[in-house]
Amino acid sequence: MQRVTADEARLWLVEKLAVRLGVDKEQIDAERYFDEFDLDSTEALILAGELEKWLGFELEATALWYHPTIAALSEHIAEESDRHVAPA
Amino acid sequence: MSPRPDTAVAARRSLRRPLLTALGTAAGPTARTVCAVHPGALPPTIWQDLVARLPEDSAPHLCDLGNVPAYAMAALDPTAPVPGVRELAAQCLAELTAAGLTERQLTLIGWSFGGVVAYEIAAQLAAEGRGDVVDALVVLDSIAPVAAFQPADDALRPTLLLDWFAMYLGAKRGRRFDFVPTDEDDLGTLLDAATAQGLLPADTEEAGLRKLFTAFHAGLVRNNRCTAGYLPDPLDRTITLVKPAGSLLPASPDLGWAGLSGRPLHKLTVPGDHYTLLGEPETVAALAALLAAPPTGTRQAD
Repeated sequence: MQRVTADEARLWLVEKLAVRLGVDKEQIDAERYFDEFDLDSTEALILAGELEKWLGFELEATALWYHPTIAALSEHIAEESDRHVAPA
Repeated sequence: MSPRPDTAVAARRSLRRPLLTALGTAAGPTARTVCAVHPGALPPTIWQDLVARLPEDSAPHLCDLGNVPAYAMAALDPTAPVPGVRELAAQCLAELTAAGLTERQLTLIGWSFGGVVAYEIAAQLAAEGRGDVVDALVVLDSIAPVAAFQPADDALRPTLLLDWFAMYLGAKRGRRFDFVPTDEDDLGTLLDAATAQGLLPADTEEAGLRKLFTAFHAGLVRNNRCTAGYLPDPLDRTITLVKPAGSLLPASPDLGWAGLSGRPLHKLTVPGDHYTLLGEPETVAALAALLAAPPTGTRQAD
């Protein structure tokens, strides 16, 4: 399992959201609430499952509740990644 | 770990979404309130077609249980304390009362688990001697809170769950999903069917769908936890059960409601399934007609 930084998580989320929404990456605002994108909750959860597969660990179910933007979630992912990846 | 400033964000998000909201104003002089009790799972916009068809003297309102923080959190965290049906109904009733909406005729209509909460709102009004204010109690494919339907969480059969999930997915994606699971099916075969029928992008990963399924299941388990131990006495009022062709429990003719009223059950059979029924024009027309002339509420028929 690789350690994931906040920047890497942010990049992954921006790219995936842009593809799902059919817009340019530049149009994805990392400070916007997930539920304010034109993304229904079905797509958001499917994206979350794909994210966990990429990360190699599960996020707690409340992650999107407490960290409702790309920026906030990316920081959280980096912290969780540090916890999951044993120090070299 | 950093501090959790986002806890404040979460609190702010729930605060901006009130439990009770008006869905419009009565087109004419208001004679009664129509209160839809919504349990989440689908967006509250599913009520908009019905609201548009309500009689002119009706003021439509929505109690969105998904905006009760403890209820929302209980679906995310299976160890979180869960508000029971009585508590949820008391919160709804307190808001309805504070808004003055129980001072005129009140129609209660609840979808799915919302029907159970609507029943308890009527029960609490009856216990306060205000039962007459409720002119109709309508439950939309709700499973009655009776002993026969209080299974343990693990009693939800996988094939039944997959069937419900397929209905839910179809409703969420706004199109019919032709998938009747057999014992051989699993999430993988459901995903294949969903991508083949264009419900999901072809590159959707099973890990993604599994996350959605887990959240769907958690919502069902949460509602079962809310209902656990809630076995109310019957009410002396007519209950209308609206049962779609694709009901959660097609084999049960009354979903248990006949045991919760001393009156004959008023039953309306409609097209659609559990998740799409409020989007079916025929169902909306039937409901609008029903709400224009609801069956006798608490008074005995002459």
